[in-house]
Amino acid sequence: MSRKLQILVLDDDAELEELLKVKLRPKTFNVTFCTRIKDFTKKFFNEQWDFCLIDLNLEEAPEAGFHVLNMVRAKEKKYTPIIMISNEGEKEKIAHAIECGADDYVSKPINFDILHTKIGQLSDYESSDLNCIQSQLIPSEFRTVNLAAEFQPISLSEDEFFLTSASYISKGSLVTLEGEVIEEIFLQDSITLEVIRTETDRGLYKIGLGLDNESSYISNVRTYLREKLDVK
Amino acid sequence: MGLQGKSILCIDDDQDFLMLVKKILENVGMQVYTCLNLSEAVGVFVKITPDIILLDLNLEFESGKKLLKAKRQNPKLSNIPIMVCSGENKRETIEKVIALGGNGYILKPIRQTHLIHSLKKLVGDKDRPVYKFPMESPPIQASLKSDLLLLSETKCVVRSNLKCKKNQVLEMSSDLLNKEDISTEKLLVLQQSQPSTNGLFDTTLGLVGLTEEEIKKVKKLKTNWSLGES
Repeated sequence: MSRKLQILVLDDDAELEELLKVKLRPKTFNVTFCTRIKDFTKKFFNEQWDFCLIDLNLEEAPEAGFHVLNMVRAKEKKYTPIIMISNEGEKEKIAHAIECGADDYVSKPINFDILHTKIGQLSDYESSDLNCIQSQLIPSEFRTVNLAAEFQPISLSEDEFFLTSASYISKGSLVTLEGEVIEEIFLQDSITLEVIRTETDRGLYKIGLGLDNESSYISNVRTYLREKLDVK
Repeated sequence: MGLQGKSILCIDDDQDFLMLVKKILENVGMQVYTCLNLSEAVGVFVKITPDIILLDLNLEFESGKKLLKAKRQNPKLSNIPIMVCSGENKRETIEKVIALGGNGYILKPIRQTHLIHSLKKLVGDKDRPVYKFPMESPPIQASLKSDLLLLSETKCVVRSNLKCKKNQVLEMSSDLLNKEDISTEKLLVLQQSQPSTNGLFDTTLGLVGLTEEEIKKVKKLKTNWSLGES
């Protein structure tokens, strides 16, 4: 049997302590509960944790949950997944917490099926044990989506536009590009290009997108190149 | 510039394929000669010396490899780059073609931009100026059409041409989820994408920051689908 997951909790709600100790499966989790920030930070930095739960609304100080989150993210040596605990309907606070580095959140009253599944997803623990929520196969008519990732531009010529990213895209894929740089080059909001090659470069991928010399956008590309290269 | 004005000899036993290639390459200003087999090709060589040869590997009664072998012995041929095209994507076949003296390999069915780009690379297109973007350039958002296969209150599985690493952050737009007001602006890659069929990848993404309302909506969608309702 694998070892228990060590979970550190910061919340000043004593009832929650009882609840977590019963509901977070005692066979899987070892829950350490702190009600004060000082205790939490001491424990966090001096011991090894698999996971943290932090209350967004501590009574000790306003916005304390955010401060703790920021401090942990700034000082931790090994990344620890953090789930924030919030009250129902605190949408803006939650979004802010996620921007500050929280991995996700659950709201009170806690749905333990969801909490277990989220912990399983975010920790390296054999997640099948914690997967309490079933996924549903989506009917074929609803499947089409657009999946987007951020890429960094590397180079541009009349024939090829090179981008880099941690993601790999197969040759022959059609990719729609958007952003400030695209508007500057093509003078339009978005452009769809084909991946003509992919190369690996120090753990990242270089994606080469083909430009068509017969297309309507090519004169804009030439103007952009002339402007950029003349300045040099 | 590039391919313009250059001549190419295309050898393929498929007349339709030859017509398609001829159209594509004439559009970029190339002079295109076509032949259905190697003996016809010999007839063309007597008259002209093409700048490039586009060679089908599996001709009707013979193998294109014959020409690759001839290239090694014939000084007139040896300077002409040969681009081999075939529907065969086995690594060994491609390696063998290159070892025999093929200068490039392009898979059928061909795509216009890919064919042009590959041929340009072959004739050398180094005169084109290249602009290098500064390091601090703003990022570009690149999106691909994908298939959302599975959905739950905490995660989803998407099949696409994108292969991601763990902990990358992606964004998704789906007519279905947009209509229900379920936000999919921040998705966390939970584990490295797994290869699926046809060169596609399956990626499991955590739905980060869904509100209780959104979770309820997902649950309702799931129930409807499991009952076979849309």
